[in-house]
Amino acid sequence: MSTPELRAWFVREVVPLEPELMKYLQHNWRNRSDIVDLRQEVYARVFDAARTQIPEKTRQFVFTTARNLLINRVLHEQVVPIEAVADLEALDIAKDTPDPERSVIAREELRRLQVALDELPPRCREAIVLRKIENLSIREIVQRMGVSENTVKMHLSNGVRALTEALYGQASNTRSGR
Amino acid sequence: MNEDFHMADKVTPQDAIEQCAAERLITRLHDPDWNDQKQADLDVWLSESVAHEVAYLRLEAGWNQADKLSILRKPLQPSARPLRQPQGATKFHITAALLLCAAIGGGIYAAVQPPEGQIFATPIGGRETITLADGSQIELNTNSEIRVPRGARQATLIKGEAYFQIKHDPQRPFTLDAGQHRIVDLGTKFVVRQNANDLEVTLVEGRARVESASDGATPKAAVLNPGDVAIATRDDLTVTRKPLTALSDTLSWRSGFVVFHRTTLREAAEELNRYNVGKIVIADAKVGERVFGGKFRTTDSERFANVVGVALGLTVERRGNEIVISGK
Repeated sequence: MSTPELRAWFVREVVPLEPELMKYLQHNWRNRSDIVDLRQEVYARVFDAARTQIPEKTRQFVFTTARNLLINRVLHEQVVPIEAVADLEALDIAKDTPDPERSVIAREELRRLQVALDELPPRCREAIVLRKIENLSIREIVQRMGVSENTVKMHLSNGVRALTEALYGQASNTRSGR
Repeated sequence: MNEDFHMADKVTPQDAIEQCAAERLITRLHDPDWNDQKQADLDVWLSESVAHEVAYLRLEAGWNQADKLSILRKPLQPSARPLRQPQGATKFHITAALLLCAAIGGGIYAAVQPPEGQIFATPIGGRETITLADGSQIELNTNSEIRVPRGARQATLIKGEAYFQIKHDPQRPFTLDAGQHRIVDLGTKFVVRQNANDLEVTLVEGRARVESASDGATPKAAVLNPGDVAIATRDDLTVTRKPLTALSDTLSWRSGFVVFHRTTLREAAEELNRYNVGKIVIADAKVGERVFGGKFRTTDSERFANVVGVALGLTVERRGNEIVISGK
């Protein structure tokens, strides 16, 4: 098991880079169906490496890891033509941007959450609304919806995946329609 | 939308892990019967592979962020606004309910629900703890003033700084109004401080929502998690995060201390001056930019001045009621 500190760092600093990371992976890797696996592989490597010491420049560290992973894949698999990674060098990973305007991001996040919420199946949406907006406990949701505790948990599990995906997962051009 | 979500029949290994992680996360956070055995099972699953752990943490981040949705919640009840507004009577009304009140006219509204209740205030250098009927506690810092209507789950910070330990009641959320801003607790300990140009809300425990609105601007809101610090100005609401050590510094006034880390002498003196009638005066701007750190008694500005004088090699003189610090 990892330390709480490491876990907190990962949640706070690594995951929020996901939209950018997805854009980067999509830009540099042709096979779209690999992207989610690549992302999780980057996460796993970053997380593992941070066990010994949490890096100071998270962004730089994550993108260097991603870049190395892609190069490795190209070299070892010999599947992807080498020009697929031509842009890799161009990535300006050294620049550790300060937080862009937080309020703009917050608004954008809320918008994406709302859209994702609207697209959930009705019962799943109901469970999420009761939990996240009405702030009810699982027991209260069970009563309100008249279903079992396990069903409520299932709805919430599906909801958390969809909302997380809406927040972080989708880079601009991969939204739905696939 | 997440395609995995609609195409459950096409399951990749990554999907399976994510689904598993989602179920475990929800159970961990919301299971009413959570116990050590369940925790141990979760720990085993998490330590089985890094893939498990990162999938879990990613969803945890998403679930926390989804707290932003609570902004969509409709206000349960209009809360009383004080009759006396510090600046510009009905200028700042945040929720739809309050806008409605403004529309029917503040006078009528005030008559229906008079904002009586008590006003608590502390002098410069004072501290006071107020216990509310529901067991919630409000600790007032130096030179602060708060209005607490009887029986209502609401208070208005008129000036200064206070620490809130609120007993949570999902049916009746506690709201705190301060200028054009409002804090709604979701089970909480937090500190609110009114500065000259902004309001600073530091969340210590639990969760709370900060709402902010001014004339002609879209209302802004943010959900705070522990360590989050919201700075609300007339036009802006930003959220940053403090490390836990800095959090305890924020609260050190409760035991009568202030803590400085790499603080300019000017800022430190301003802070000390909040607690003392005899003010510290920095004689020239350059001296005010000197940086230092340390822990000081809030009400002993003389000792503060002497320590700083020795540490930074400055001259300290008493002039009447003031303590003047200048370069040599």
